[in-house]
Amino acid sequence: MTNLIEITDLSVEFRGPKNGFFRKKSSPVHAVDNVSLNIVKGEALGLVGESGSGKTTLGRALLRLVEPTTGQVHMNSTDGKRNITSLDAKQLRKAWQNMQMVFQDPQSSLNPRMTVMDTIAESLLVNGIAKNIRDAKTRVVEVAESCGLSSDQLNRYPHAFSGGQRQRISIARALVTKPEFIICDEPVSALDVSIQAQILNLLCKLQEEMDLTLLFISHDLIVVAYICDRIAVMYLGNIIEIAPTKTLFNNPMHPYTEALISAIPSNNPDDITGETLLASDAPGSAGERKGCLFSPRCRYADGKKCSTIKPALTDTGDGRMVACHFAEKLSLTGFGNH
Amino acid sequence: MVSSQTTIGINPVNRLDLATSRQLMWYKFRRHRLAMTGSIIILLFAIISIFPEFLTPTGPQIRDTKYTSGPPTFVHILDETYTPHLPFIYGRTITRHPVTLRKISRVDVSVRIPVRFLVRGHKYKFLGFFSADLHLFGTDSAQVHLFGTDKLGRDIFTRTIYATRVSISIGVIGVLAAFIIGLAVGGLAGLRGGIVDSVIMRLIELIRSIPSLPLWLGLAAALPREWSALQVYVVVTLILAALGWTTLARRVRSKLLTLRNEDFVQAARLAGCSDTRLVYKHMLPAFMSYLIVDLTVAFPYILLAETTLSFLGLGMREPMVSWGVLLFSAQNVTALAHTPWLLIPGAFIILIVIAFNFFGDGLRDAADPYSN
Repeated sequence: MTNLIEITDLSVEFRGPKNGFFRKKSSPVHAVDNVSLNIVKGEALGLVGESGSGKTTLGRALLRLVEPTTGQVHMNSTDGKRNITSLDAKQLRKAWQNMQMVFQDPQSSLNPRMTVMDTIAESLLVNGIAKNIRDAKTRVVEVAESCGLSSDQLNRYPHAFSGGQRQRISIARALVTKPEFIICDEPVSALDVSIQAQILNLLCKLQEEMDLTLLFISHDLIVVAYICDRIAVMYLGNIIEIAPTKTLFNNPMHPYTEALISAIPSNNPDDITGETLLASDAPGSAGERKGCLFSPRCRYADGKKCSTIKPALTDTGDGRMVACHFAEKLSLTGFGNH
Repeated sequence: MVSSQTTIGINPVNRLDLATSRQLMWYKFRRHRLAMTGSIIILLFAIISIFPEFLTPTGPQIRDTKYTSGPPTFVHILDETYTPHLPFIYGRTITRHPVTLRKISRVDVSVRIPVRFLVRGHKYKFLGFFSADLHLFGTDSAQVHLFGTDKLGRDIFTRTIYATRVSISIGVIGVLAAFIIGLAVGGLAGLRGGIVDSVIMRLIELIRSIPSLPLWLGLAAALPREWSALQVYVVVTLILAALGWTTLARRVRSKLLTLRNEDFVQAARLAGCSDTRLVYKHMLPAFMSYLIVDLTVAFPYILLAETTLSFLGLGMREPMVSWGVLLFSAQNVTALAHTPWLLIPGAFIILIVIAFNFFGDGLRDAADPYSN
């Protein structure tokens, strides 16, 4: 097992404008806070968390769509090892041929003024892989068909397609340069439930056929469980637990993971209790960060250790990692047992 | 894992599916009745401003010395016994009131002067190149004055039609100049950001906080009196444009800032597009239609600003006639009481301003064809 992506101490901070004449200094927002994470070649890694937990920012920082404040991202692609964080604009464009992204909302991620053909072919053209649109056509048709689009639809504009079909276009665009690594940023959360399954199945199929490595970002645990081998849980910019999917669901080790699992709605109407383990909303990512960030909402917090010392993400064996002082002592409820 | 469904139902090709954004906008615009009416009026004005020499019976500076301050002459097709004729006008006699000495114009029904179409009249240079003397209508002897004459005997109809060219071209050139300045400055602010952005935005706030009328007046009054009418025309246009670009620059900047973070722009970046390509291929087309709406809405303001300046005697000057110049002569109460037809050019201003507002409304609705 080799790592395709190695993330070390990656942080993304957002600050207000620095030296405004009339502005007070604002404290930075830690969207991503010292995250270290490895993504194994060929796996599908899920990244879950509430909105505002920094999962999308982490995804974008890997591609440097958002510039990381500190930290490194390395990629061991078949054509050599790259330090993504140190590439200049030109090298970055080259690297992007090998790492792509599928965006959340297919409505806004396709340029409405370009035909599907032009959209998918753009990467081939601007990177000089194809000289003109006629050159690019064979590859575009090939990738479009593998994404379930028929070749006679390609001269249409995005408005002619439904949400699910648009997401197929978006996936085809990401795959056209045959990348090894794809970040899927909530690729199905804007879709109807009936369409979600189709897109998830498509992603599974493509992952197998094209030997892709996926980082699958979502707030929906069920969706992530369906497609991913491992799951990383994020809370306020930190990764607080990583475990293989089954283990995480059956036997969570972090109280936050337990709370997330308990919040999964049951498909049995008799089971709906309305109880929830997470009472309040997450506090913002700005301001003082002391102790365990989850402790104010944690029902197992002891009030002293938890609110002063920040727990580190530690290996607990079986390929699991967790950031909780009491991980070993607590016995938490998994999926289907509450 | 469940195998994926590989093909999806092939929909029959719909005309809309293959339509470019421009076609979609047209389909949407066409449904807006008022806007269509507005655009027809604008089209008429455009035609008028191309062919004023042909459409008028005489020239803007030609005087009918026998008929000064004369009321409009009506073109009749029925005489006083209701017998139909080809279009004609009655003869006129001008007498003076024995006591007040005021001019009194009397219609002489015994004389019928036929109005002919496509007649040869006074010579002009068509579009400044071709000599011609063909006019849409005219008479052999006495002149036809549809809107009456001013106190020098110049035909108001002719002058209004000629003024259309000047007024509309000021609007068009002013709007285009404002567009270019706004796009360049706003683009610079939006793409560079940082200190450049701050400086430009403060400058715009400064310009916008100056009361506009005194500023126009000051700038226009600074023009040397000995300048030719053409020079004044160019400079007045530029003054109006120099003040009109600020709104547009802000719009361009804010659009660029929002679009930069749109998913489809980010996706295009990932596809490897250079910054230039991102701007020209992805961002500009996305907000160009909004800019065109802004321009359409700005046009009446520039037109009215020119009218205001000229009305106050600080804009265009004779022999260049604009609608504002024409209204300048209708400033005093005597003129209004005795020669109300001098106000007719004002109706043209109202008409085109309203037409442009309707047109702008329709464009605004059509500007985002993907909204539903």
